[in-house]
Amino acid sequence: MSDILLSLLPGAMYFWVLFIGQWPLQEVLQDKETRVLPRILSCPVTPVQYVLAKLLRCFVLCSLAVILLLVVSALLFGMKWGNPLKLAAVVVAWAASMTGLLAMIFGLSRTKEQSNVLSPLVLLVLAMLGGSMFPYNSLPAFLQMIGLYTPNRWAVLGLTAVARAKPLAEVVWPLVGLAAMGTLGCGLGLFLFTRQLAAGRRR
Amino acid sequence: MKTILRLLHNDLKRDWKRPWAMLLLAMMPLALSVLIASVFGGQGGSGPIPTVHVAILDQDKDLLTGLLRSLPTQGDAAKNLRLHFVENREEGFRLVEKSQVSALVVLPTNMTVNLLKGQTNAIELYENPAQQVLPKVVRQGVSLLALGLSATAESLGEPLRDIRDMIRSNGFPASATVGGLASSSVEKLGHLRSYVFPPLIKFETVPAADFQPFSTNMPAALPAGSNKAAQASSPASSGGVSPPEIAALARQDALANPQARTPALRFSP
Repeated sequence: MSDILLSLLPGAMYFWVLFIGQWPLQEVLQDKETRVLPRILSCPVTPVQYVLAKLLRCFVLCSLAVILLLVVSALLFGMKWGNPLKLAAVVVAWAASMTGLLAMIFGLSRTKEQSNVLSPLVLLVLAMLGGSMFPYNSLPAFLQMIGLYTPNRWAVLGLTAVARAKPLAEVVWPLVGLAAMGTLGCGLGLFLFTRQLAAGRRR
Repeated sequence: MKTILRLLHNDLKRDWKRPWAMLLLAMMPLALSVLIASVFGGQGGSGPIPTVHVAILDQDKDLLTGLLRSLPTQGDAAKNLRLHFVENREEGFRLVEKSQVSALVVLPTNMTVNLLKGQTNAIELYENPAQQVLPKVVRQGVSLLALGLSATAESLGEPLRDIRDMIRSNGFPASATVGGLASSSVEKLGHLRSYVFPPLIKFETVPAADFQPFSTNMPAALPAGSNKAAQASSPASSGGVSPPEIAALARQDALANPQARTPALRFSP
């Protein structure tokens, strides 16, 4: 059972944990729409601090969810996830990339409704191409080619490489991709969110 | 930084008080993966090999089919292959329809006689359309059986004919006849010595992670001008090369260079 779970679970984990990470960022849009945000920002809190706190919460929740899944699957199904240090790096890279991806999606959305449409659309397409829904190897060659550039695929490659005790080079590259995505996404998301909030403040 | 951490602390405290929705969502990937694994994967690679149930309609009831009947009761085949002998096609189809067997194999009338005469026979195979993999296993098995029977009839035809006649005759065989048969059989088998003792083709199972192509199968390891069949049979490079193509290449090689036949058939060192 653990063999087949190792090929199914990493992709599914990455896909589902993204839905947990959505909540803090959805709250930004919700707070804006329900006029809670002006009240928060009237306190000694800047929009950047507010958004950073939400991004950090997204990171923490994603990390906790991934750790919980790793522990539960190890206890229930005897799955061996490999070296704990490398695994910690994978968890950090996963959570960072999830935060970055969600920050971009929600930063681009103006309203909660927009985010409710855009977010599942992007996450589902990435999941399908990256092998979170179907086995990646059963995708047609051209879709595999595209799927190779999705965070879902990098996440699966990183985690399975650690679990199968692959050489360090095979672990590092997917994690570098995820970390880059996290950094860029968080930067872009922070910029888009603060611009939105500052514009709302002026009005 | 202090403000950020305070905001984070407040939010996480809120999450801690209402964790159920989050926990439920977190368990979704595990639940779905386990469900999919149990539906499609069963026990995975470490589980037992499934038993293949095959219905056989033996219309020949002669020497070779008698030998075939005894095969699945020996060795590992006894664990993984169950033959259900039926008296007519209807009974066989009924077993297929009830999904009690993966396929129905019909051995034709006079199969042994025709084979020993060098005539063509047709083994009929009816696959169970409700099953995915096991009927294909049976199809491969029947193809191998046909190949094996043809090769046996071709190489041991004469002694087999004599053995059949001896078994069918009512009288007790003379020791000289038995001795002659044994000696001609051994002589015929002697031609196969270089292929069968020890066998040129070995079947091994290794964990997928440990698989290493054999040096004789790797195209890079082949000397320049070596036969094409050995290259085609390489697991690493065989993508799209079917067994008949490999056989055709082997025949070409054999014609071009009779000495190259042995390495062409060598799959493992």
